Amino acid sequence: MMGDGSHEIVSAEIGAYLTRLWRYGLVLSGDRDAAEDLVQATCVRALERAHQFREGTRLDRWLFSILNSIWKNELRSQKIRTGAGFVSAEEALIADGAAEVETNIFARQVLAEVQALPEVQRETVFLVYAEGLTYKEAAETLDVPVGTIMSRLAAARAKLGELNQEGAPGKRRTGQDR
Amino acid sequence: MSNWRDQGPVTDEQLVAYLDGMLDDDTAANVEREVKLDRKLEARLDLLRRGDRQFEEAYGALLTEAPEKKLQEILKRVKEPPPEVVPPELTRPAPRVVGGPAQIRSEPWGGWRVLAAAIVLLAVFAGGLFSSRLLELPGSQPQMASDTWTKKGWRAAVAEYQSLFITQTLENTGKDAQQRAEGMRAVSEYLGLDLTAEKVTVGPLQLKRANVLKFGGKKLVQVAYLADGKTPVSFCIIKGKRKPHDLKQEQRLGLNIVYWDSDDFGFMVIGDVPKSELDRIARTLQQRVS
Repeated sequence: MMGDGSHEIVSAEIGAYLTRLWRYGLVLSGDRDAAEDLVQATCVRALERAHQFREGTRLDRWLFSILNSIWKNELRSQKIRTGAGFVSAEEALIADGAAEVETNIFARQVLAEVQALPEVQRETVFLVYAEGLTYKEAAETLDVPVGTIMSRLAAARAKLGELNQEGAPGKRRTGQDR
Repeated sequence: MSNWRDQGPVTDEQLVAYLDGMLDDDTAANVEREVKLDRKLEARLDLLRRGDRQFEEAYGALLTEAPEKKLQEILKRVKEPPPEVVPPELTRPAPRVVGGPAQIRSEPWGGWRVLAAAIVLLAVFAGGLFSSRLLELPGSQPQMASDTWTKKGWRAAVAEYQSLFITQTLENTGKDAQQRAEGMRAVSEYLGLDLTAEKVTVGPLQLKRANVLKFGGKKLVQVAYLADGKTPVSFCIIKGKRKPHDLKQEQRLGLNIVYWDSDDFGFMVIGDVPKSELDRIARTLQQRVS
């Protein structure tokens, strides 16, 4: 049952994706410790299930979907229960990133704007626009229909467009995001 | 992506897909045509266009902050578990046991607890495969103070073993239904008792894995669960002629136990869950398995 070839590929190549996995974990959780936990859990799960990885497909996409599933099914509820992260994702990410990012005020502003979006829009924007996934790949990663990806992007773009129009991007948060 | 082509009004979704270059030529041309004819649509397209950002560059800044060295160390640990590292949680003295841990640690070979902890740790880092593993409980080997342990009995040995389990021991295991089924098949064959994942799954217990064990020369099986996703609970079965009796309760090392015997097997359910709840679980298992 075990695909030795796919196990070798996963084991040999997973190390190249750790920083991107961490970044995705940070975008989802807004918390650096949680991002590390997510990377660790993703590595464990990926090595456990390496036989399920299909050779010839993109390993990074497969790893993203594992991380996403761990976050959705396990860690997110834990963090909500403990009252950590999630709600303060915007602040945590920006505060943590401030040291490095403040030299680039533009980047900081973009991160703040996207982090202020509802989680489902945030993760979709990140996967499609920052990670370069196609709509179809994002749909597979997040386990939703392509149409859902499109409506999330449309809602996010409309919101970000409004911010741009008002000339005060990142400052305004209406609470009517959902 | 012509399947998005819309016969009705152009939607925001289509406009964004147009801006993202995700439409086929025909659909894109249709959108352009519609936008030229409709000022409102044009305004909408402008708004969505203004919603674009240099996302890749902005998020690129975060990549430089990733603790890469630490992440590589994490991966190394996951890949190659060092058996000599025993986390403090696993060696902590078991709660509410008089003289237990100290006595165990003074055993000449260094204490089975340390070995068991290393085995558990190995199992955890090995990726939590839901496969049957042959582990030896105290009392199964002469050099492991077998006299002491066989006198204490299998429930005492299981309680000691169970007291080493923490949430993390099990939380990343047993996610795959097929592996769970195969694990149960393996332990069924080992014991000669029909155990399926369905039979041994009782709410709120989530089946995590099954271990093939041995105690005092007898076949022993541990089916491990997490109750409500956090509390380790085990259903253990030992093979051997016994005098049948109904459910009984006891407590060892602060863990509640409900146990019963049939002619050929001894059964026990153990965990840090309320007695009444454990009793209900045991009763269900007794009906299904005994």
